[in-house]
Formats: sequence, structure tokens, C-alpha cells
Amino acid sequence: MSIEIRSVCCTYGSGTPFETKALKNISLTIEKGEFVGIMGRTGCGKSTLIQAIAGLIPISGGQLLLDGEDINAKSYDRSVLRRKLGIVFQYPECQLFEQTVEKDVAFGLKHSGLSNNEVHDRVKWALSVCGFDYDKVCKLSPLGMSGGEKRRIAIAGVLAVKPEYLILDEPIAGLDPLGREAFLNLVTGLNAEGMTIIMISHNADCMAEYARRIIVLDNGELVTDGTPQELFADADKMRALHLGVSRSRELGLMLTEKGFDISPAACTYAELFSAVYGILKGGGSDE
Amino acid sequence: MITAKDLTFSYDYSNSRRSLDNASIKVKRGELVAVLGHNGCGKSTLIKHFNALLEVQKGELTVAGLDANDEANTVKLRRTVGMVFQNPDTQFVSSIVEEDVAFGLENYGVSYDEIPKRVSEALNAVDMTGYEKRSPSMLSGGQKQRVALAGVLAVEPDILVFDEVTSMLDPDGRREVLSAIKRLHEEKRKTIVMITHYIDEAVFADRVYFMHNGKMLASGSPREMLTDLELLKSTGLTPPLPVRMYYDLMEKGIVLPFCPLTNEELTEAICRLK
Repeated sequence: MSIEIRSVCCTYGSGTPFETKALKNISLTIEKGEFVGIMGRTGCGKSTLIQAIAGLIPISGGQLLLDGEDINAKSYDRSVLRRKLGIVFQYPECQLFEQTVEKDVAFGLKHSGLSNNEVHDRVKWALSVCGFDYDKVCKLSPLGMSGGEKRRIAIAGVLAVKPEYLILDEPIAGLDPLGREAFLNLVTGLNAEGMTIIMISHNADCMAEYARRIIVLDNGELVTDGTPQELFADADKMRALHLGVSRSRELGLMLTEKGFDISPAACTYAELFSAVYGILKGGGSDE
Repeated sequence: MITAKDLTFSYDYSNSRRSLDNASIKVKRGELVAVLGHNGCGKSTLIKHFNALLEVQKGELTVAGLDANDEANTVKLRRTVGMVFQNPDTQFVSSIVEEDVAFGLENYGVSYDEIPKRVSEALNAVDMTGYEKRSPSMLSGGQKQRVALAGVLAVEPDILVFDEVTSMLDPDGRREVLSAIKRLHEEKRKTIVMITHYIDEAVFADRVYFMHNGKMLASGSPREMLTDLELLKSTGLTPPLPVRMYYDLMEKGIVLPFCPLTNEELTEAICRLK
């Protein structure tokens, strides 16, 4: 059970002066249950890649396999893809449209063949996972809620379909620090229950803390694939890719320059803190 | 430069759902002020009063000596206060950079001899000279935001208001836009009000305001405000990383010589202790 990306190419405006090769021969496999982060500067092909995975744009070469089946094959039933894979776009709150929260969250379940009771249970479940009390919000207009609330309602609409793979495109841009943390904890919880998470973000701190594997794209090519610790250890490379490193790693580098022994793999706050604590505690006992 | 006293505002004119609740703020000429607070705390509602995008419902507001309650001042306020918002893609009106920057000037009836000069000055101020003939849609996020900023600068407002202008940008874009903002503050002496969710962007402000549920909770220097753990918590903000480390170390019995605000200061504090 996995998403297999085999030598995928994607070209926009083929045959015109604006021809752009957005993806160049990308190959990678995302196993079920992984939490994968995708990083890369604006215009590197991140969004193109996830749209290709979701079957929303045609690819110009290669193959995309979802659980072993080619999603672009003529015989493939796309409704399977739609059920298995949920996608949350940038600014999902702009996509709310129904009169009530309940209707909006239930929209994806139309034609799903579920009974009314089952739909009701799913909506209730999705809203509670996203931190809402169903009875309080079900009859409200989603358009009258605050920005952070709207975003969680939109995500509830995707979760209601109970996808096995969840793709998130910059889900935390514009959220306040607590909103960011609450949201990422929600995603981590879903991941712990077996949902595969693929998340695009510019935020190196969040990537370091939450993703277990990070893929870096640059100019349509896959340039790095590894754990956050491996990636951020090579700070020069991350800077050359215009991505920078997490704040904890940045601080670790400054301390290393001053002669302190801090592991290049310390990229999360907890890792850096224990390194600093170790140094200061050790220093105290010497005197 | 800006004096708001007890501003109260609700979008549906009800008294129950107040987006602003007796909020007051004072910004001096040439000051860079950062406003922080959680989503929905009223930050954007507050600053939209400054150029009369929202009209005052209750309270007093004077901007550059102009009474915002007086409708006759609306056009003047719009010229005095320039605003840049979060999403660079929704702020363009033209398909060519220089025409986009000139848009405000044309509307204010600036003479055609004057416009090219102002446009090139504005683009220069944000380090975008050379992009005059480009299409905004072909620029990076940071470049787009700087063009949006140039369009505001061309009108020569005394006050600039930035509503989360870096939150959609990649790290490079953030750096570019922040350094443009710092330059406008330091070299052009502009009065700046900046809303942000990135607490490290507030470190270089002259003064910091915390908002919570429509109310102005507290204000002070970045050093007072950003190192006060209790205050940060009650505002729903997380401390800058060096501050967090200072308190976490203290809990473990290690007391740094001072509470650091930046990475440089934290490094220094740790060096001093060793």
C-alpha cells in the first residue's frame, strides 16, 4: 500500500513560448502511514506534484501508482482515487459555500452510497476531530466564522470522506502560533491512527518538529529526501536551496561557531535544548 | 501620528459580537509598532480604521491630525495611510509592474510628467528596479509583495500599515520584504504599523502591542513584552525561541545572566555562563 511516483514529468504550455517543465523525472515512493513534508521555494513544482498525485492534472511522462494501480490508466476507476485520497488546498476556507456547516462538511459524501445516518455520524466525527462541538456549530453558516474556524471546517469536509492519504498544501500559512500547533497536533493524531500525511510547508520549524521525512524539490527536480535531522544537518545546502534551517538548528550553528559541541542533527527544540542543557550542566560540574 | 481612543466595532452592528472592544493605541511619528494577537483578536479590524476602510462606530480616532469620524477626511486618510495585505496575488490591478505601481498615482491625478519619476523611486526603494516591464504574475511571492509595497509607496503616504505581509512567503521572500520594511523605517523615517504572527518579526519594533478578544491587553518595548511569559500565555502567543530556552533552563536550575531576545544574545548569554 503506497503511492509510487515513477519518472513523472509534467510540462505546462507545451509547444508554446511559455513551455515550462514543472516536474522533471521525479521518482519516489511514499509508504502507507508515513508523514512526509515537501519543501522547496515558490515555483519549484510542489503544488504541481501534489496535483499530479491527486490526478487533477495530466502528466506528460512516467507513471503514478496508488496502491499498485496506475491512476492515469484508461481502465482505472477514478472514484477509488477520490475516496482514498483527500486534498486540502491553500486557503481552503475560500472553498466553503453551503448554507450550514453540516451541509458543507457532508458535501463530499453525496453519492457515496452511505445512508443518512452514516453520513450524519461521519460529519459529527469529522467536526469533533477538528475541535468542534457538532450541536453548537451544525446549523451555523460557515461563512460567518473566523478565519481559523473556517479552515478547520473545510478540513472536516475532507476528513468526512475518511481518506487513507491526506495531502495538505501550506495548511498553516496565516494561522497564529497556537492555531498552528493545534492544527499540527490534529494532523499528527490522524497520522498516528494510520492516515498517510503529505504536507507542503515553507515553515522549517514545523517541518523539523512534525514531519518524519522531508522531500525537497528545486526547479522541478527532486534534490533531497531524508529525515529532518539529515536535511537540516547540511545547513549550507538548505540555504543554497533558499529554504533555510529551523530556528533551533540556526541557534545550534551559532553555538557551534563559538566552540560549543552541538550535534548537527539537533534540529528540533527538544534536541537543541537537551544539547544546551548538557553543555551547561557539564560546565557547572567542572568548576 | 495615530491616536485611537476606546474604539469599539462590530461587523453586524450588534453589541454582543464585538470585534473591537474599547481598544486604544498610540503611534508616534517615525515609530515602528508591531501588533500581535491570535486569529480573530481584532488586529485587522483595528488597522482598517486607520485609512477609513472601516468607519468608526464608537470611540475616537485621529490619524495625522485628521479626525477619522469626519467623512470629509476619507480621501485624505487614504493618501496618508498606505496598506499592504497578506496575499500578494489579490493586490494587482495591472498586468505590467510599472503600470500597477502607477495605478494609485493616476487615480489621484498626479501629472504624467511626475508619474514615471515616482514609479521608479518607489521600485528603487523596494529594490525592484529592472522589473518595470515584467508581468506581476511571473514574479516570486517576495517580489510580488515588494511590487505591492511600491504601489503604496508611490503615493507617498506618511504612514504604512502591513497586515501579515510575510505570512504567505517562503523564507527568502520573508527576508526580502522584512529588509525592505526595515529600510523604509530607518532611511525614509516612515511611521509603520505591522501586524504579524511571527513573534521574531516583532523583535525589531520600537513598541509592541498585544491584542486579545478585541481589547488592547498591554504595550511596551519588545524586551518587556516578549520576555513576559505570563503575558504571552494570556495573549495566546508563544515566546521567541531564546526566551523559551531561558525559562526552560531556569526550570532545570540553570540561570543565564540575562533573558535573551535574539539568537545572538542567547549565544552571548551561554558564552558568559561557560
